Amino acid sequence: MTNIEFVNIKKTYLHNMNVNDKKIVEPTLKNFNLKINNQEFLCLFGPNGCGKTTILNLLAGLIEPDEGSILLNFNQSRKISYIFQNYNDTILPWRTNLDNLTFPLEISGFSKKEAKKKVIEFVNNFDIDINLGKYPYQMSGGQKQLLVIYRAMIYEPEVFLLDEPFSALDYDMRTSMEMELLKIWRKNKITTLFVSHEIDETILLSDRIIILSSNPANIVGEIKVDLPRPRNLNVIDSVEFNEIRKQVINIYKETKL
Amino acid sequence: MKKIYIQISIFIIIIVIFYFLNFFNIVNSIFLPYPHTVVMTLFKILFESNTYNDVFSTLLRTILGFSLASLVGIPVGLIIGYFKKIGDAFIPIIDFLRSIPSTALIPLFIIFIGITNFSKIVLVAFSTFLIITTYTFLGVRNTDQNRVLFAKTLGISKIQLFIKIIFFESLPSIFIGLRTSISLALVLVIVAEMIMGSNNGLGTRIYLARYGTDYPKMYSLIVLCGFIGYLFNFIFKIINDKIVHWVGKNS
Repeated sequence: MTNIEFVNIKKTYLHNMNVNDKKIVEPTLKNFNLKINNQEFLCLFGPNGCGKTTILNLLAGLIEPDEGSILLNFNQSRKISYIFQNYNDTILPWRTNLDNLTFPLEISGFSKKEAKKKVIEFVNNFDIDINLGKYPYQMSGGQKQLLVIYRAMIYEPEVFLLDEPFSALDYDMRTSMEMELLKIWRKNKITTLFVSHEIDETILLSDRIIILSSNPANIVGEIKVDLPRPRNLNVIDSVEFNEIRKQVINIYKETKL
Repeated sequence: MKKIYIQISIFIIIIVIFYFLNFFNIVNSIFLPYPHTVVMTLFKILFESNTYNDVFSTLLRTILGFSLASLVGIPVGLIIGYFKKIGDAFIPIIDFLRSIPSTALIPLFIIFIGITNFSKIVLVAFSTFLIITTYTFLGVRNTDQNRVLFAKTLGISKIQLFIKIIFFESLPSIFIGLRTSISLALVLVIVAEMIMGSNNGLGTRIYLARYGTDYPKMYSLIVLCGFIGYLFNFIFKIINDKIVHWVGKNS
């Protein structure tokens, strides 16, 4: 079942050279169409600056399309959790870890007491190893990343958007975060849109990969990832994984030529 | 441990220099008494009840002026920071007024309000109000946009955004403004007491001590002012570290 549909989207950014002298640049998105299935883990794969973030921003309602529409097949409320690339800057440093986790709930109308109760339930459920009484700046980079992911999940979103969330992490941290994310996703089965320019990560995580070209972002390829779930890092060594990897690289090469 | 030794050494060296200047008569010893004379005088005046009266008056003027400025300055700063159009309209005039050395305004205050206690408090309040407003304004304007965007993805209302995000974002800057202001407030009260005149207050005492050529007393009062300023700073640092504890820590 389709959950989200982008229909003929056009989005152009105006670069303000001067207040009255607006320079129009090439559209980032033009005639962009995409269907996202319910409970699907979809990866958007493409070069930097190709408009992947724009797609997420449109879906999150942070920006409006110039033309076209986005059809949402869920409740009227756009209940979306969005993890930015610079997720660190979205942590609220004046709040403890616990109060960071309650924040989305407070915004959606829970009282502070109810929100705390929900967070503690969630923490027990997921067997989370974060000291809730501490402040974010007292934690390691990986723990902060986890905090942000948990904060996004606690909100019980209908759609989960992640914009290259692991790009700043080292290899060890990155792989353990990928595993953690898969674990969470398996439990919740939330429709997920994941932006990446890391090929292995993309294949490891997703049900389907959308390959984008840049300026304007066009879909140049679509690959279904049929690897069995639950997945772990061993899957990277499998023949199927490498087959998919080759396909992605081939599509990529063709578009470059 | 090493750091404290160096700090104490510097302190001792400065005192030795004072003795040196005095002992070899490089500076007239009438104008520059020996440090131990100053310390002894300081102890002496600390046993006089008049001194506490003066300290109290100066503190009261400082704190009243400063509090008044904070009560008005923080809300004004928040408003002109949040509403872009209002901010753009008012900030040039605030910048200009802030650029006028506050002491240059003393004659104006004398003409319009007189040389009363109230006049001194208003002088302090007016000058520090401009600083507090500016720092609050800057705090709001420099709010991290990532946190605002994040909150917007959750569908936060404007009021909630202001209370739960923007206010906290501006707190570190507000505290810089408050700390700068409390120091300036003390300076202004002392100057105002000297220029406008007053029955009490440390500024008045220092002025009178010089007038009566009681230089050891003058120096000891200056040292006392130093201690008060230092204490203000110390108290503010503690409050600052308690409230805006996240500043300077990587988050």
